[in-house]
Parts: sequence; C-alpha cells; structure tokens
Amino acid sequence: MQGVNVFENGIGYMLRCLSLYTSGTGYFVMYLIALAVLIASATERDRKLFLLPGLCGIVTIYNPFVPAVLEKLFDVSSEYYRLFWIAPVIVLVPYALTTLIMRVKPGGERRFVTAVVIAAFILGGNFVYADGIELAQNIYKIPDELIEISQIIHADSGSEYAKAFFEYDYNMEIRQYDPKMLLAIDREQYLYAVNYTYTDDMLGEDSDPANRILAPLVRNIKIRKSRFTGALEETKTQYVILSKGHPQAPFVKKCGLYEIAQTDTHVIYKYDLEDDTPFELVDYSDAEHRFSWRMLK
Amino acid sequence: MILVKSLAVFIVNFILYLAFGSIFTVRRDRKWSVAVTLAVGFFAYYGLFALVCFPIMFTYRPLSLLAYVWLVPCVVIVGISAILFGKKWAEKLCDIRGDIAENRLLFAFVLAITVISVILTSITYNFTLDAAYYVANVTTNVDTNMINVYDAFTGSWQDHFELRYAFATYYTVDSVVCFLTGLPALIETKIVMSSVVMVIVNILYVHICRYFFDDTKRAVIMYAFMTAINYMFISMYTASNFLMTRTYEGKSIVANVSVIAIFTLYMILVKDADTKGLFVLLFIVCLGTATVSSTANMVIPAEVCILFIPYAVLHKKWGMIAKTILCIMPELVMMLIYVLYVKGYYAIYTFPR
Repeated sequence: MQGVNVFENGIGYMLRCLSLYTSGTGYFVMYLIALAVLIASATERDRKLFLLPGLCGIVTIYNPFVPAVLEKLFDVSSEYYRLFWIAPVIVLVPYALTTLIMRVKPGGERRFVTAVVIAAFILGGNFVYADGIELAQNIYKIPDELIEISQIIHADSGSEYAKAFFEYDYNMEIRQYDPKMLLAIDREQYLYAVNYTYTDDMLGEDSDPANRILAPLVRNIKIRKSRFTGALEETKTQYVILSKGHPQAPFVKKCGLYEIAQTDTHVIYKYDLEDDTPFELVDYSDAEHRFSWRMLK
Repeated sequence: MILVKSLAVFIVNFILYLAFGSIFTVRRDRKWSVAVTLAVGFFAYYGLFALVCFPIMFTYRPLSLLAYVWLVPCVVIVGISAILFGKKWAEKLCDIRGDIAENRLLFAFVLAITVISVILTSITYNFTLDAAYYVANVTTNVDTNMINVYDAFTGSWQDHFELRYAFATYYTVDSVVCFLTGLPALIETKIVMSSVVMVIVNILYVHICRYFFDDTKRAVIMYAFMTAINYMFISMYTASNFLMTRTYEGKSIVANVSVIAIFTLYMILVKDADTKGLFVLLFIVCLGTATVSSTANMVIPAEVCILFIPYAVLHKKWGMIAKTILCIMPELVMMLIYVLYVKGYYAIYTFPR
C-alpha cells in the first residue's frame, strides 16, 4: 500500500491499511455488523460459514500485531491489504441484506426497509464509473495516437526493431501493442525517477546510461549534451518521443536530434546513432538445452 | 475476423474447463455442479499447464514447441472427458434447460448483468502499470518465440529468468493462445480472458445465491446485491476494483475467482459434511492459483487455513488439518522458491552456463 508501512505505523498499520482499503465505503463495516449479528442469531450453518472463520481471521491475519511479526520475515507492507480479499464481504453482506428484507412482512413495511437498505447501500459506496466511462479508442484498448507513432517509427527505421524513449504513459503501453519497439527505460526506472525515489545525485551517476536520459527528460535536470547523446549511443536509442511543448524539446534539438514527424500531441525526434547495428534476438539454435542454475550465496 | 476468433477462443476455454473439471467433479453416484466444475477445471487447466511449461521454459526452448506440446493434453483430456462424461453433460444440459424454464427471472437477470459487465470491462479504457509487464510479456513471448527470456518492459535479453513473473504461467497460456490463433495479445488478455473471468465469477455467484436460497426471488435479490457490491465497493485496493477495472490480471483472478471458489468448497463442506473428494478439488484450486499470480502465495494459505482448520478443530477431524496443509503446499513451496530468489540465493539462467 503506497505511503503506509509497518515500520512507521507499528500496530496501527492494520487499521491504517483497512482505512485505505475501504476508502470511505461502508461494506466492510456492514460485514463486521453482520458478523456481530450472527453471534446472537445465526443458524448453526451460518455460524460455521461466517462466524467461525471471521473470528479466526480477527485473531490471526487481522490481528494488529500480525503485520509487525510478518514484516520481520517478509516485506508485507505493500501487499498486506490483499488479505482483506479473504473476508467474504461479497457473500455475507448480500446474504444478510436479503435476509433482512425478506424477514419483514410484505407490503409497506418491506418497501420501507428495502428503500432504507438500498439508500444505505448507495450512500456506502463509490461507484466504479463515478467519474464517467472512458471508452477505449480502438479494439486494442490503447490510444490511437500510440498506434500511429508506432507505425511512423517502423516506417522510418527500416530495421525490424527500433529503440525509443517515450514519456510515462506511452512508455508503459507501447510494448503491449508493439513488441518490436524496444525501450530505453524500464518501468521501475521510470517510476523511481517520477516519484523521486531516485535522488538528483543518483541520477547524476554515470554508471547507468538510463540516468542520463531520465535526468533531463523526466526530471528536467540540466546535463551536458555529450552525456545525453552518450547515453543514447550506449543504449542504442534512436527515437525520442516527447509531448508537444515539452520543456526539454530545445535541449533535445541542440543535442542533434531532429524531428521526423508530429502527431496530434507528440513530436517524434530521431538521433542518428554512430553504431546503428540492428538489434538481433539471441541465437539458441546451437545452445545445449539444459536446466542451468547456480547458488549465489 | 478478430471478433470471430475471440468468440471461438472464449467458447473453447469453457469447453476445456468443463473437460478438465469433470475429471475431478463428475461421479456416477453423486450430484455435480457446473459452477464448481468450471471453476475447478479453470485451475486444473492452469495447474497442468504450469507442469508442462516449466521444463520447456527452463531449458529455453521455443514457445512454438510449448504450444504444440500443450495441444496434446488438451485434446486428450477433452476427448477422454467427452467419452466418459458426455452423457452426464447431456443430462446436465437438460437439467439446466428445465431449471431455466422454472426460474426465468433469475437466469434472465443473471444473463443481463453478466453481459453488461462483460461489455463494460471489454470496452472501457484503464491505464494500469501492471499491464506494462503482463500484456507486454505475452507480446514479447510471441514475437521472440521464446518463453520469458526477454524483458517484457524493454525487450532486452535477460541472462536469468525473472522468477517473480516466470512462475506465474497464466500469461504464458495467453502467449500460447496468441501463437496458435494469431490473436493480438491485447485482445486475448484484455477482452477474451477478461470476459472469461467475469463469466466464471458470475456463475459462482449464482451457485452461492442458490446455496442460500431455494426461492428464486431471494436468490435474485442476493445476486443483485453481490453485483452492486462489485460496482460500488471501489477503492484502489478492493477485489471488486480489480474485477471491474483490471479483470485480466492474475491478482484479479486470485481475489475474485480463487477466493470465491475456495469459499464455495467450504460451503459444500459445511452443508454436506462430506469430505470425499473435496480436498482433491481444494488442492486443484490451490495448485492452479499458485500458477496464476505470486499474490496467491500469501492470500490462499491464509484463506484455506482460516476456513478449514477451525472447522477441523471444531469437529475434531484431525486428519483434515493434514489434508488442509497438503492443499496449500503449492503456495508454500512457491513462496520458499520466490523468497530465496528475491534474497539472491540462486538464479536460473536463460542460457547454458
């Protein structure tokens, strides 16, 4: 869970996670109320189905001390919330509400209870399409413009594979559509640059050429032209795709990149690599196909 | 043409799940449920696939070989199932027809809701970071004709397998399907498999509603509330959010199919108190889930233990505790393998060393 960890929150971690998990929705509370009601009035079957596992869950995985213990064994901070999936909210709450409605005598009284339940249900939720439905632009469910950019680059490249730098969204999406588009920056590197996990000092290190691409193009850090073009050479990156009005567009042009095309919102720049040996897949034709592993510690 | 292929793959998937599941659920002397059969079949399919995939993947043989090899058990199992259970399937079809005729309201409502949910998940655009790996992994495997050897994020060659993903062979099945059918990865993952998952989830919901209520009206109301929760219980982290917006991801399957399927098996145990064959089904679900997402390694053991161990203690069925632990062994073994890898104890290479 982003921004929450066991180390900082201690035994309050579980409740903080639950709060973020529910995010103002009331169904988990309804689940706990239904569990409480079951203690008094459930049939034997329902006690076995819901109460026994529910109580067992509360003293084990939903025990506030458990994440603190688990954290010592595994890194659970980012994934603990997934244990809330186990609570059968999707079964118990509908079952309890249905029973509640149908227990009331038919007629005005039942209509009233139904209206109250539905009102509580609606008020207790966040509708999945509350911000509207964003329809996919095409059957591939990626932006049309990304497909256009892919076609432009491959038409220009002349070789089977092309290597490029894209901005955040497109960097994450292009290879879902086009596996022949190689990327200069991988997902984690991009994320760490965007969310400042990489400090300016870290991006200043020369060891990884990706730093010299991320520094100017993602973090707007000034670097020498030769360091940037050196990174393009080392990573064999031939294309840089920036949104129109990108603050580093003038820098990119000064580095010798030139525009080959524009789409609605993006500009495609090309860099002529000194070594433009095309990318080739590893040849396994003569490889001995055996399981190969090593103990490293 | 793509739509026809997609529909064909969608239908073939259900035939495969029915065939795989029937082997474990259809018996001469007892009732069997289509919902449980499809759910168990789904996980049996993915579990068996992983067993076929690992030796081929870890000896860096091509995807095309895996695809053709995988066709063999699929054809054999469908053939054997059709011979052994064809009559049972036909009888069940007649039962379902009769059931539909008697409960038109329920089935019409379920059909309408399921179709709407399938359409909504298929036509909406959702940007998720995880798709950057999962879907790109399928395109990369198909393009390179290798299995998890190239980095899905960048396309570059990896000297060792990234085991966080390599053991989750759910996406390798998508690669095989795309290779065999020519379907684009984005359509296989985000439309076909999303639809498959949504349909299985709704079939399980109907099974659950009818477990609680024989009366159609009550079952319809409960199903409506279950659907409403999926549309309303939305935060970045809920199972419903994964189902509605990230349906194709392994995590969504763990949260919405595996967790519910295991709860359904527990419901059967509570109702019938008959454990004959039940733990085989539970084992199959756990085994298949372990190959869908590494998330299963934490979630599934916790759920299985919370459901089955208190029941065993309450009924003093001590042997059930051993069976329960046996069922979660796939997750425990995967967790151990994964933790040792993450902590840098070993690496599995993509080229002989």
